[in-house]
Amino acid sequence: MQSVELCDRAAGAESLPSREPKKKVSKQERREQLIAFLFILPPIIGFLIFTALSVIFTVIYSFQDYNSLSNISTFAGLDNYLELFTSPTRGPLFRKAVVNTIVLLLSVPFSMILGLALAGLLRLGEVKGSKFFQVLYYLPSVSSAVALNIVWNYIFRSNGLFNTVFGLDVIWLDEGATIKAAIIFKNSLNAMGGAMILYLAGMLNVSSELYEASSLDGAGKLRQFFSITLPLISPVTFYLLITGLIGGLQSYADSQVFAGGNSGATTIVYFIWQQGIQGNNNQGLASAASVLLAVFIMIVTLIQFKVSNKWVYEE
Amino acid sequence: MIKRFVGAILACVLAVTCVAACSGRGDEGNVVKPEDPIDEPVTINFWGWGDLAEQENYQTLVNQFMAEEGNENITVLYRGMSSSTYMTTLRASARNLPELFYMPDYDFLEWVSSGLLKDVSAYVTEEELSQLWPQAVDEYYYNAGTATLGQSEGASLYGLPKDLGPFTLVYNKTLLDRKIEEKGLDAEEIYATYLNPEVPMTWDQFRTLLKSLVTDKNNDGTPDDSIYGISHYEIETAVYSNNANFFNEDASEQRITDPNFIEALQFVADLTLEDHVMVPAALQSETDGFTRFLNSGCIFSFMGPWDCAQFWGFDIAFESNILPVPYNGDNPDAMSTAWVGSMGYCVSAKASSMQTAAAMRLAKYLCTNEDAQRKFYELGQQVPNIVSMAKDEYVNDTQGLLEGKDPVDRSVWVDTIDGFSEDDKIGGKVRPRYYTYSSGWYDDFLMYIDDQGLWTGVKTAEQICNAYESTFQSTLDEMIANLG
Repeated sequence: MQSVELCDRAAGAESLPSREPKKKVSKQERREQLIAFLFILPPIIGFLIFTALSVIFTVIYSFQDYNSLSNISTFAGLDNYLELFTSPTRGPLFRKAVVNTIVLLLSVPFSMILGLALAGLLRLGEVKGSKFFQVLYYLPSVSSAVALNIVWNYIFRSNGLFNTVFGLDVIWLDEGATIKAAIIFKNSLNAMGGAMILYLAGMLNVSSELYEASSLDGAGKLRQFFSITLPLISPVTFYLLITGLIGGLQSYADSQVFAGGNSGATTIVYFIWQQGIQGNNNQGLASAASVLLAVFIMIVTLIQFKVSNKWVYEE
Repeated sequence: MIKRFVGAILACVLAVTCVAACSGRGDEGNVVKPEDPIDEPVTINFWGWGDLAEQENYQTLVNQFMAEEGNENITVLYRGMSSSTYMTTLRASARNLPELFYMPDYDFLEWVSSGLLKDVSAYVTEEELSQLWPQAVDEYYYNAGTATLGQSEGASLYGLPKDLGPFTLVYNKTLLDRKIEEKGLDAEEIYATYLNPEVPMTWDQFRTLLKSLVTDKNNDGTPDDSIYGISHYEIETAVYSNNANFFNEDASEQRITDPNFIEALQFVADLTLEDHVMVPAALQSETDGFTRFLNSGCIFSFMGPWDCAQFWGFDIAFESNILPVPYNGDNPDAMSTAWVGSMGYCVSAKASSMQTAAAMRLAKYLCTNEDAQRKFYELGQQVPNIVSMAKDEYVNDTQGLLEGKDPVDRSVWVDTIDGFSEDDKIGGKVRPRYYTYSSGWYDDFLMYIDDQGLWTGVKTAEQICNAYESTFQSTLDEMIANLG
């Protein structure tokens, strides 16, 4: 088989017209190429320095015991990775950060469901002033995450708006489950506007003929939603899921600004910051946690892409 | 073409890198001795932290220094930062430090042992040092040969103290008087028995006082009028005031299983759990203690001299005063002992001799100059470094600069700094983190006891400390190994 293929290739090569002589590049074309290259040079340099080099050094440091003050670095093998799970002081902090990060991801499906519901209402219900509501719900998506977290922090204080409005006496910013519930609630509301806009755009792209045809067949609104709308906007769902999970796994502002370092809400990125930057001088450990997080995000994303052909609609 | 272009770019990058690598600061032939005049232009960068008001004050003093120095060759570029970002920025700049910068005492050992700070012994005379608080100066000595802190044979001076600040008890007098009246208590007796600036309260007295002022009829942990007795309690203060510590003298052996240590920790927890007079941990994470105090959400809290600036600028509508911290009256070896924090003016090890000379002139001006020290206490930033000035001018306000400004009993701060002898009833101690290579262990410990439920009563201090013993010992061993 292999020999046949080789023969075919050889025959093909023979039948090819002889190679054209290399066209001489004019001065003007060179100039244009140079200008084009200069245009893309800044982002390439930026990428090499701030992304590629950072990634390479992070991987290197994750195998080193590095002291940034004395600038002494010694090879530590897998010690930093093992310390993340076995150290009596750092281990529990890392495990807690992992659990917190995963629990807080619940806001991703919640925000998608809320966004979908809102988009459905605005699309089907022909709500008066729907543009106003679109702007209103989308506002958190274009607002500063820090500003939003500060406002939400005030809302969730024991004497804050949430308890006052609902007549509750709950300490939301406690270290247990309540602070996680508060973060999931606020993140769901913050992200639902963005989801709503994308879902609405997806719904507007669904051909009305499909709805008309299904109506003739006797399908109700609910059936139409589950059998036509939802499958046809599945690319939007896929996009929101991918970006939501990646963003959620890299969450930091919730721990730092909203929770002020409260151990009930520390995320993996917050742990990395705490160990590598805040003053613990554990750059090796922080790098190891960063590498693990990056690998985990890659695996989650790959799995999603892998299974996407089973549920994501493609024309 | 493209290849040649990329080659040219790489060549440029390499050239720039080489030039940058070769342009390290240092003396290039012209070594300036400490006593030599500075007759060439020299620029020094000075980094500090503080709120905006403090940064402005520093800029004013730096300008004053440049004007008074009369040496047009010295230019100081002051850069003030917020306290939260300062150490992060400084760490990130460890390879290219400014010539002069603040160094908190609890990070001093790590930085000095890493060789990043300059030995400035030759730039200060004994006479200049003798007018300062000796314990403050002592903090910035380090013996590189034995890797030990404090003055000893062979030790050198690696910084000058910016300040020495005791963190003592403060009370909202207006709120306290209102509470006394509401509860029908005898104000005269309370002030005489409990609120004497020269006689510290015992823990029992403090608990009795708080319980008489705060009532929780439905026993739900929240005072009936939501005004707590105290915002929080400083762990180090409780531990020190029961004659205990986190470790032994050279920080090589843990002492958290010492019954006195455990008793101190349990005392703090019981203020919430049993007495319901202290803000629960969950609410403490919502609003920090001092902010709650400023908003009249509690009667007592803790404050240091540096808080005065914020206090005076906050436009608060209440009177306040300070007290020595309570101690365990049942322990015959215990005395009122607050933690005393400090910060140093340190010089980068990479600074040239001329830059060091100029930086030390500025450091000495800020640290020992009477006018500068007067300005600092007038602005509510510190107790003067000059002992004679602190004990008389500052305590008695002989210059009339603190008239009408709280706290009135500033002698408490001076007594706390000064109280190191055995006869003293009131004293102070440096924070334990000062003695260890790194300071992260303290936060780890706090997180652990919090996580184990000390503040919610899930476990007792004894259970938690016993369980953490080996971990803490390993941490100490690791830090000693890092120190070499």
